[in-house]
Amino acid sequence: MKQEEINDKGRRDFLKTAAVAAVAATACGSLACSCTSKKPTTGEKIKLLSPEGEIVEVDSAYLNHQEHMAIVSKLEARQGIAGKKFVMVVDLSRCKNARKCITACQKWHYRPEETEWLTVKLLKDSEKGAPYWFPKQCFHCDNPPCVKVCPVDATFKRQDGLVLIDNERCIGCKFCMAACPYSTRVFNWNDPVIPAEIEEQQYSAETGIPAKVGTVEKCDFCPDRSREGLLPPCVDACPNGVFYFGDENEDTVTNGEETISFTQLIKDRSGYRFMEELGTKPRVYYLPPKDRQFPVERGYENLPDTLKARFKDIMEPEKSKS
Amino acid sequence: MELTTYQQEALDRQKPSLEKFGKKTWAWTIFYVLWIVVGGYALYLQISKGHGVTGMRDNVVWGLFIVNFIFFIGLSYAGAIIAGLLHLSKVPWGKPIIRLAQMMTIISVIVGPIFILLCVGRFDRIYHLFLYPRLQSPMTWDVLAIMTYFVGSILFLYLALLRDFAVYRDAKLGIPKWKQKLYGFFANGYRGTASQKRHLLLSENLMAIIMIPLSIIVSSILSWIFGMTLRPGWHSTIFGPYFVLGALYSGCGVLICAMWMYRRTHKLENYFTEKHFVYLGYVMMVLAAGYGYFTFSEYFTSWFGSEKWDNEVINKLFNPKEYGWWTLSPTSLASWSRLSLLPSVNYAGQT
Repeated sequence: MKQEEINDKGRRDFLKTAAVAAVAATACGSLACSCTSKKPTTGEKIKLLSPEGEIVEVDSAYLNHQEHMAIVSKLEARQGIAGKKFVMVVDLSRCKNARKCITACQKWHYRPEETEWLTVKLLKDSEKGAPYWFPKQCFHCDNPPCVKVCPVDATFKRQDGLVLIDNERCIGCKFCMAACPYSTRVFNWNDPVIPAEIEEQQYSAETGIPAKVGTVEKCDFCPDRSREGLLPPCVDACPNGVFYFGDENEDTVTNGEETISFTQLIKDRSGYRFMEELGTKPRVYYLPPKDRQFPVERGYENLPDTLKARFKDIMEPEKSKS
Repeated sequence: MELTTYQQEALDRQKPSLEKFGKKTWAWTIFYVLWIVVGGYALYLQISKGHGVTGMRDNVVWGLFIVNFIFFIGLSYAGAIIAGLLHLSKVPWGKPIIRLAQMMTIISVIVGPIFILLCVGRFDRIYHLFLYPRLQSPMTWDVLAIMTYFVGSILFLYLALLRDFAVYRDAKLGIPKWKQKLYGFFANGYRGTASQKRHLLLSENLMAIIMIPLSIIVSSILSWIFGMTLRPGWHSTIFGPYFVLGALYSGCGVLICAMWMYRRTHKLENYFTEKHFVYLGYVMMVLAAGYGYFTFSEYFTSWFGSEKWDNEVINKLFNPKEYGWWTLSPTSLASWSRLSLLPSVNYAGQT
């Protein structure tokens, strides 16, 4: 399925069909089974995406349209996609702070401009070191400090490596926000503005839609898109192919243009994890900003003043002091 | 039940305040209720507009709510430890302080958690703590600890009050009949027989022995809400004992203030004598030294090691602009000097 179809209106229709597929699969064990039962067929074949990620054809007679269903059950959203181990690699040598990932993320999750689940920081490791742009999202740690401290099991670790939040369970104690050493989590301090088109969408921990006041949320690696066989919007939106997303079990990652071996990429480009010394075992790897494609100023010059203020102390140390 | 002269004397003194709700008491009650109304309006704003009105943001997620929570819960722990120690050590001058410390324990263990309820983003889902508890979380430890502690401190106070209820039940007070009956109910058949006395003392000793370690445990658990995170400045092994000592220190201070107020309002000069203030002042001096020692070792080691993130915290705190830090540390360490080193100046004049 092409990406244009997923946007806005197309997305809702897609969710419905995907929901039907999921229901059919759980009811009969597999889609093939449901096709052999004794119901009169119409002959009209409809293409569906199975939970395993395959496109299958099902006779329209076996489909019941159900409104406003979650893509997956609550249990499935907590268990995760079997056999997967999602991993991301961020190539720091390619980032020029274009911020396309941020806007794409906000659009997909219907988040306002000030809520940045994914953000781009400007890092400077040592006094004489060269500053570089550093996209930072949730690291989906294998030893997640946030999950450890949640008193109600609202944030959880899944078998596919993702750390998600159930905002129907969350009591808003914000302990996870204090515990996350990367400050990746954001809180709905005020009533979130919910666009009309997602108002009635049933909540799922996999989509995080709709947002709820008084609960914590964060980057979720878009498992709803992974189930559809799509890349997260930040990966798709990046004009420079900074983000590689993939499956550690398959040992492949892709940035949409090239698909390469994850271990080879880490080996060749000396991939590392942010703040390894904390022992959180992040699932996001960074490739050092060596042989950069853009000078760091390219990401600063054309920013609006509000955003410039964030990086002023590094980009214009003389000015920020006065 | 026959009263001793000490009991009779105390009863006569209390009689007026037991029998009627004076004008002054009404005035204070209304004053405090008005404050609660102001708080209620703030709560209304917070509920209707969201937690954004608190001024907290993603980088300051707990703010003053937790500061208050820690303060009151700390007072509570201190009350139980002081009462327990004074009870077990059987020092004769300790008796009046015990009751006050126990009251402080109960009141602050009720007030403290209110701030948590205000701080939680989804107050309406607070029952999730019991419906889906996760033992792995220090927050769950804290919920269990505070509930255990609450029950323990109620029992501790009740055992001490048992004799008083019996006294009120038998005394001829000018109070409504239902009140007299209520006292009788709580006195629970206590007549002051030798066997009852022995059992009561035994239970009180047992509760004191339980409450002291319990306070230390729950106070440490409270500190682990911070200590168990990976935040620089919080992630410290010293936090358990640091919080216990800090709680005792502030608890001792509040106890002195409470003693002064009760002495004034209830004319208890015979019970809270200058000696009590001086002795508690000495206790505070020792605690201040301990607190200062902990504070010093905490920041001195991280400053000397000067690890990157530790250094950030040190530079932030010891920045001349941080007026909060610069007022807190010296004043909190120096306050004992007013209370202990100059006792004659402070209290001799007030009889």
